[in-house]
Amino acid sequence: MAEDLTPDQLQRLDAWWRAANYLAVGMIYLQDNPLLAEPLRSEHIKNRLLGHWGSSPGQAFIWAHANRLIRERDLDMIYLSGPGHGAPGVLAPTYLDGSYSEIYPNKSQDAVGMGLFLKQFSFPGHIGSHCTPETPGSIHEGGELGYVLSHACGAVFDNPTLIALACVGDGEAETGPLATSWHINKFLNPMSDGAVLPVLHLTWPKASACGAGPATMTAAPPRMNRMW
Amino acid sequence: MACAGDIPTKETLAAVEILRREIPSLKVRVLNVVKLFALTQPSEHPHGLSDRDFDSLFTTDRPVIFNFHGYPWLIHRLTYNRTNHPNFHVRGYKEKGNINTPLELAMSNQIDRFSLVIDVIDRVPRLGSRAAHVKERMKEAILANRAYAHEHGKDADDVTNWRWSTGPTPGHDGGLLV
Repeated sequence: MAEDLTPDQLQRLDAWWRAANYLAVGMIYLQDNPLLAEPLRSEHIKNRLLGHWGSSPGQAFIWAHANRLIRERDLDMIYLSGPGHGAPGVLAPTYLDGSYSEIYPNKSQDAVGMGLFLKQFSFPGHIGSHCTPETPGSIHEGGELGYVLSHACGAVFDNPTLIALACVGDGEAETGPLATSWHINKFLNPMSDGAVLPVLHLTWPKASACGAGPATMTAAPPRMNRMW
Repeated sequence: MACAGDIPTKETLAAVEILRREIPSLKVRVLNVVKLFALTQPSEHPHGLSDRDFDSLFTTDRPVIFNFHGYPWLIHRLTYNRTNHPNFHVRGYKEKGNINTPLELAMSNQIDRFSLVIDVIDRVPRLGSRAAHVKERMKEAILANRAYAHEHGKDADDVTNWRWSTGPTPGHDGGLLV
C-alpha cells in the first residue's frame, strides 16, 4: 500500500499525525499555555496526570490511516477504542476534524478553545481519560478492558455496509472476554452483517503494570505474534 | 465519632476540630478502629470485644457517626447486635467516584469533614436548629471546595496540608482510645 502513496500524501498524513500527538501530549500535561507561546512554567502543568501516553500516538496513527482509506474508498467506518486511558489518541482526531468544536462550540479551533480542550481532559469536574459518553460519536468507552471486539461486532450486526475498526489494547487482550471474542467472526454473516477489523495495539509499557513489564501479547515470540 | 481507614480517620479528626471550634460545649469522643473484627462478638472472632467493653467505648445511648473506607453496611453487619447499634450512623463508599481530587471523592461519598459535622448536627438532639448556622457554613464549604477542585485540578492547600493541631481539651474525653 505504501508504494501507492505520493510523497505529498505521506507528508500530509505525517503532519496530521504529529498535530494529533501534540494535542495528546497537551491533554495529558497542560492546563494552560496550549500553543507553548511562552516558555513552559510549572504552573502550566496539570497537578494530576491521568492519561496514558503509551496508548495515544498508536491510536492517532491508526485513525490517520483509517481516514485515508475512508477518503480513498468512500467507506462507512466507525472506530472503537480499546486501550485504557488512551482517549487523547481519539479525542485529538475528533478535534482536528472539527467535530469536537461542532458539538462543544466553546472548545473552538483557536488558542482559547484549544486551551479549554486540553485542560478539560481527565480534570476534576470534566471529561474522563477514556472515550466517555461525552466523546462525539462514542458507542464504546474503552478502558474498562475486554469488550471492544464484542461492541464492534454488535455495531455491524444487520449493518452490512459498516466496517468497525476495533483497536484492541494489549493489556485488554489478556482478559477472558477479549481472548474469547477473537472468535467473533463466527457470528458474522457476510450477507447481512458488516465487517470487524481488529487492530492489536502492542504497547511495551503497560499503565497497569506500574512499569513492571510488557503485556503477554507484546512479549510473545514473533512466531506467535504472526498468528494475529 | 468512630473511624477506620486513613482518609476517613483524617476527615473525622478534621471534623472534630471544626466541632470543637464551632460548638465548644459539645463533648466528642473519637474512636479509631484498627481491627474491624473488634466490632463483632468475641464468639464470632477472636478479636471481638465483649459487650461490656464495646458498651463502654461506644456508649449505650449516644449517637455514633462511623466513618469507614469501605461499603457502610459492613459496619452495620458487624455491630448489628450491639446495645447501641440503633444509634449507629455509618458513612462510607457508595459508588460515587470519577475524575476527583481526594477531598472531592470524600465529599461525593459524604465521608468528608464538612458532611460529618452536618451529620453530628443532625443527630445530636439538642443541636438541631441551634447549630443551623454551622450547618449552612459546612454546605458552603463543600460547594467552595468542589469549585476549587474543578478550577485548579487539586484540593486547596489548607485541606491538603491539614494537620491535627488541637490536643485534648479539659472537660472532653477526646483523644484516640482504640
